[in-house]
Amino acid sequence: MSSPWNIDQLDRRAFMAALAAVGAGSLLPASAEAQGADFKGRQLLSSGFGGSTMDIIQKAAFDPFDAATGAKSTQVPMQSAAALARMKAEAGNPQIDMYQFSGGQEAQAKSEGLTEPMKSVPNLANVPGGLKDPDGHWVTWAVIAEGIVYNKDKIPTPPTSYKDFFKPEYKGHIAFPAITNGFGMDFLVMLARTFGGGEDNIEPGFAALAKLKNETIFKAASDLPGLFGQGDIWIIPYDTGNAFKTAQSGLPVAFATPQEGSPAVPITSCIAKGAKNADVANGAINYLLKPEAQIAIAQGMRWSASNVNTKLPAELASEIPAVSQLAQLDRAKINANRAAWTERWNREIAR
Amino acid sequence: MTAARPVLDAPGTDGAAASSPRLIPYVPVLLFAPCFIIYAVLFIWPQLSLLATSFVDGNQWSVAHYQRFLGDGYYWELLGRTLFLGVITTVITLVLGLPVAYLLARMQSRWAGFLLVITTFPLLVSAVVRSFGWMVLFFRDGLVSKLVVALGLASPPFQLMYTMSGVVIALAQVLLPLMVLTLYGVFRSIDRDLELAAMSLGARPSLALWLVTLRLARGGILAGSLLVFSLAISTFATPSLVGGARAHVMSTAIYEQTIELLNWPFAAALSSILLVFVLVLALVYGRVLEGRGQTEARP
Amino acid sequence: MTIDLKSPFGALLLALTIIAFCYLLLPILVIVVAPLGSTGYLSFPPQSLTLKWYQAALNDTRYVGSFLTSLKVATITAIVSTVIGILAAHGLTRYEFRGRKFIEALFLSPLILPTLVLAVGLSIFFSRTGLLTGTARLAASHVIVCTPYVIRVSLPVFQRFDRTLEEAAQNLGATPLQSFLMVLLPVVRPAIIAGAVMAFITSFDEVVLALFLAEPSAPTLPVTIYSAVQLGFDPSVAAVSGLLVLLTMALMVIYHIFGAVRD
Repeated sequence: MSSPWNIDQLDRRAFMAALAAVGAGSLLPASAEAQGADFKGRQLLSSGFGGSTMDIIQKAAFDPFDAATGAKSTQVPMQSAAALARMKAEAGNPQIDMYQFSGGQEAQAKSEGLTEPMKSVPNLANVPGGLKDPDGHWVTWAVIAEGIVYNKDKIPTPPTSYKDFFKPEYKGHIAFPAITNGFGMDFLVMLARTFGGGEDNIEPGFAALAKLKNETIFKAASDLPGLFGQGDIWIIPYDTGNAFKTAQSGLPVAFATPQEGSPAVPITSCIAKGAKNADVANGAINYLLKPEAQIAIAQGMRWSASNVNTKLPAELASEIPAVSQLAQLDRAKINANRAAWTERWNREIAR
Repeated sequence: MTAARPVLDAPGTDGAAASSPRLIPYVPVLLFAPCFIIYAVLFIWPQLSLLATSFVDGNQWSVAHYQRFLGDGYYWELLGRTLFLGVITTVITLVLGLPVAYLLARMQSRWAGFLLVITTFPLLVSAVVRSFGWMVLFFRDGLVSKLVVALGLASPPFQLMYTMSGVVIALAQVLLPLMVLTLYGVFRSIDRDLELAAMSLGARPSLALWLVTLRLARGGILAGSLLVFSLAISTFATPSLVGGARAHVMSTAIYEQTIELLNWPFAAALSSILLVFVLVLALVYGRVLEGRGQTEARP
Repeated sequence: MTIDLKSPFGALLLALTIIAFCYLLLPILVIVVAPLGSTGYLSFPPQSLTLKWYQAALNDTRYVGSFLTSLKVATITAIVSTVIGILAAHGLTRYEFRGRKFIEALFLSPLILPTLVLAVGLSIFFSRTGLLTGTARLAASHVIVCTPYVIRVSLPVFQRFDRTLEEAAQNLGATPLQSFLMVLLPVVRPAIIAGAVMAFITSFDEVVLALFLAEPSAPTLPVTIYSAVQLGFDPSVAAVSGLLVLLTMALMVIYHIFGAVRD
């Protein structure tokens, strides 16, 4: 008596599941196309990284998105930290719909209540858990690998460890970024890890950094060509992207992965709370997560891909570390300590 | 200027005999009105609301942000370094700006205007790019750093990049045009006959004449100094890009609090402290420079 | 020339002037010449010569677009600042009243506050009130930063101006407006021009307020330049500034040729 009923129920469940599967498989792209038509004449404003970086990202993701949906996407050149400050100043009435960050600002933006969750971004499912916000407020669409950038002519055997920064033969030829530069913060944390500490015990990091305090300290990535070109600097803790760019400019510079691990720096996007074009922004973020876009970005910038389905061509894959090989830093702990460590760094290292 | 010449030649000496009848009070009000209204809406209102946040800690009124500054030697050192940067920069621009402005103002050639425009070239180059220009010269293998070593002023390895001296050199270069422009306007308005009169009264040429001119131009010297000083202590780009982490001054600290740490209340406290110190300094400097001249001019 | 340049002291003045010009122009020379080098980083003197960085700067439509935006903002700012600044400076020197020093300090104080603090205050203000839109926001904000230059530069000249002249003009039947326009303005003209030039250039080169308040789809030239170097630097960025210097120089030369024709 109960069995036919059960079977009936089972059948109905199976039918619903089948329907859902069909929906996910064929109806969703169809609805995305339909959405695309809706964006005709719509304007999307996103913050961007400026210069040639912005051009590469425009060509890789925003242009195809515009072509498919009829939207017009513009990137507004803005440094990540300044972008977050503008986002905060415009809270509640944002002029810019979507933000791109390269220095961990996304977590702070979320905790300040400046972001809203993404909706209907199918490719979000292909990004591993550690690279996106559990509540869907931000997602990583590229990853920078940090490590050691060095002068090949002066240092013929590639450095292998963060301990190499303390080799006496490099004395006077070492530079490192200030703590307000995201890479400077990560250098401190990696030194702490190298000498027995970490995010929970930063003491060894400061102790190690104090030994380098008479070396050159710089603030901006744009100093790199000058440091290697005219500054007589041989070794700097920096990233694959800048190593690539500096080498392209004609300087004998290469990147080395330290044995302690290459820290991963997520390049993320999020949507400003109350953004007028949040729906368009969702569509654009989906395009940033597409494997084609991520391959183009890897080619132009040497940034790693975040979508698990992105398969880099072999010659690129050998140059760019996969995200799974990178060291993940505890960004929440770093953000919580940022003010205190910055204060201490200013007093103990920069003075 | 030539059109104004006959007017300037009219009788009357520098302000001493001037006395104006009390004018109807609404005239100055009308003159201020446009400026004041714009300031009230776009300066006083936004800045007071920001300033108010510097007196809030958590959810209650507090002077914690000010205590944090005043009770910490580190911040006093920062303020001291900032004011020192302002003074040195002002002195350099005065020493170089006075002769330039004077010679340009007294030059008869049409090329005086051309040379004046050339002095403003540093202002045309974006602050970021300008510091890249300095960077090329200041790094260890750069022309200027090598020159300093060659002159025996420093021993190698030496670089001006990321030092306070480098910041002063770069900052004075971009502020010098402002000093020249300010002084130029004043020198042009000083009647040359006055200088000649001073000379005929027994002043020896050259140095003595120069001193008379400077005395006449003291209002411009005050204005130019305060302009350069104000900008030297509040500019962020040059100290940050040329000075790096070691030339930490108030403006870079304010940038750090505002942009990197998003601690806007403390940033507002830092800038109001800076504002108060500078206003007091400006007042003292004005008193010293104008001296009795101020009271003479305004009966 | 009132001071004899052949006297020892005159020679000293001349020497200081020459030093000052070299000092002013050396880094400009680097900016104009270094992008002629073929390397992807700036070096001075440049190695093998090329025009590719200048070409890259000219071909980048972003720079042209933002140059025009900057030109527009700076022109509006310079006009408004000069008019309200000159009126205020006149009022400050012409009339004696209680609180005159206070008003003067108030009008000049935006010079001392770091522009970043102004930018944060203004951008919260605009965001909450919704006042003004587009490029007008930036121009209005620049007026606050640029007016103090006009006031600062014209105050000493107004102060030096002999009041008896204006009174004499009025005794001869001129109205206060006439005496202001026909007697005072010609005398203070160099200061007005200096103030207007400073206001224009300051607005043209201002980057912090522009980062916060520029119309997002129309960034100014300094913002475009500033952001272009965030993730690295190439010589075409310096070439943009080099072009600006060369353009100004060309305009000056043309002006002088036409000036010569007119003479």
